[in-house]
Amino acid sequence: MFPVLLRREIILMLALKAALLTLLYFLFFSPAHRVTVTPDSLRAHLVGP
Amino acid sequence: MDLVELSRLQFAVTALYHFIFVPLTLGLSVLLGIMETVYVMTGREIWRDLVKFWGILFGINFAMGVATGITMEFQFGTNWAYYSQYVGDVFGAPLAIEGLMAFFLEATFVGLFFFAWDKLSKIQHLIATWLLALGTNFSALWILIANGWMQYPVGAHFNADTMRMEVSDFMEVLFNPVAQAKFVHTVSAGYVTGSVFVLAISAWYLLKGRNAEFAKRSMTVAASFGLASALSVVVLGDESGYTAGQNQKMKIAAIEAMWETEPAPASFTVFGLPDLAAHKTHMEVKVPWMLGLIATRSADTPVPGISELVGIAQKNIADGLIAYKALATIKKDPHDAQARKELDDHVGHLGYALLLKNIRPDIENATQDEIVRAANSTIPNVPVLFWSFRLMVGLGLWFIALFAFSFWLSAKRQLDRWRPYLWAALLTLPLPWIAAELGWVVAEYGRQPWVIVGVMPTALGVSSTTTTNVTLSLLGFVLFYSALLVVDFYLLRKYIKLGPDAPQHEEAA
Repeated sequence: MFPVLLRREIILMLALKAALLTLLYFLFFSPAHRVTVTPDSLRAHLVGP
Repeated sequence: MDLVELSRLQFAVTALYHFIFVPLTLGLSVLLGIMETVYVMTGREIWRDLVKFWGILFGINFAMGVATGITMEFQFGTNWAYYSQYVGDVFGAPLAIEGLMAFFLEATFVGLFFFAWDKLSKIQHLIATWLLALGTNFSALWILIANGWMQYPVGAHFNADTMRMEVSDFMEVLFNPVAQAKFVHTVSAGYVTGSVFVLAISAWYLLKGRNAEFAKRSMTVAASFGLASALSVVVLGDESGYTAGQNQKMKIAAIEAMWETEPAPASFTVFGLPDLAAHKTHMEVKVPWMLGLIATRSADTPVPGISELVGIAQKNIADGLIAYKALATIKKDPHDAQARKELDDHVGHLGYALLLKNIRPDIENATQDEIVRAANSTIPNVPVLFWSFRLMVGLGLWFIALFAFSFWLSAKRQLDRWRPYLWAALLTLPLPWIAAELGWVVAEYGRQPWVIVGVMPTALGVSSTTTTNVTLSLLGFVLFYSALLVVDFYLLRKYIKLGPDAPQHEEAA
């Protein structure tokens, strides 16, 4: 159903998109960037130390 | 900008970009189902051509839009870690089901829709197309259940030992009236978007004097489905107004710029100039009874204004401070039964006490002035809500008028006779996106200062990450999404210009 040219364009775009998303993930959102929150740290955050 | 504002801006930007792609996917998937049903019922090839052409445009939008929502989930772990820990038990389940719906059901049937024309029978392919539409709509249902819970947190309770909100009744979360009203209102808006898209592009073909039979059939489907959808948006938006009137009274008061309580039967302000400093709305034009009917479904119930609601918030903060002090006692002695009882009795307003955290850390020592300041912080940005809502409603009424006229012209078989109408249809193309984005502004900006209404102030949900990290990732998102949008526009424009009878459309896989 997809024209061949469009199929190529979309595959290229999806590959680029996946690469960019992966890059953004590793630059800003990987586990190393996450803040670990435990019940105790949340209790300290809300109620105080 | 501080960390809270940056994190909010980042989430808002990604959500608003994501919702550029979503409504067209929602609307076009159902339109494809309708067109293919006509094809199967009549056996006429032109209807198959319709499905294939609009399917190509659906495919472009789907491919560009897919996974643009996943970046919001990235942000939960980094920018909103306290929020995720506090409400993850409730919020996580619908979010996970949404992911399963989107990635398994929807993706499977997208594949069948595009690549199984020659492998399935007509009926089998039709079923795949409708299941694609169903999957698309179902994934919207689950994300809106999660969002509805943020607006009206039911079916959950606070556990002082785990410091989390925990599900007590999943069915209550699932059938949350705010979520249900939000879901039907949102998907209807998507149907309007899909219908306007088909109508506008078909009008362009007629203006260009090409593909007339194809365009007129497309417009007939878009006009009838669009009219039903546009009427549904208004009716279901009214239901959203009613649920907000019951559960988010401050949002309704802010949308109405209603500083003082409106006696029954409450009037609706069609026009006015909200004055934040004077707490007045100048040059008001009001429709009697209308707000009472929308917000309370009655003519004998007053609708509380901002001043009255701020007064109630003050009382809630004072009550919530009892829960907060009990929680502090439990922190020191987890076995203090009296403190646990006090917490249970007042936990419903704990979130209100937490509003004081924006003012001072030791909130148990808050003065009356500080309580008043915290109560005043429950007022959202009135002018933004007032104008966003009115513009959205105005656009909604325009869509009804346009679709009704299109339907009439279609019935008269005069869709191609009147060029000003065709131009009006074409120029309407961007408007459903503007209306949908304004709808989200009303829903989410109107939720402030809460991330979970009455439970958690937004500022307390934000992680202790760095502003540099949020600023740079925000910049990355803006560049990434803008590039996607440019490619989406480029590809859509290219294949619309080629039209349904372009020879390359016949190049099968």
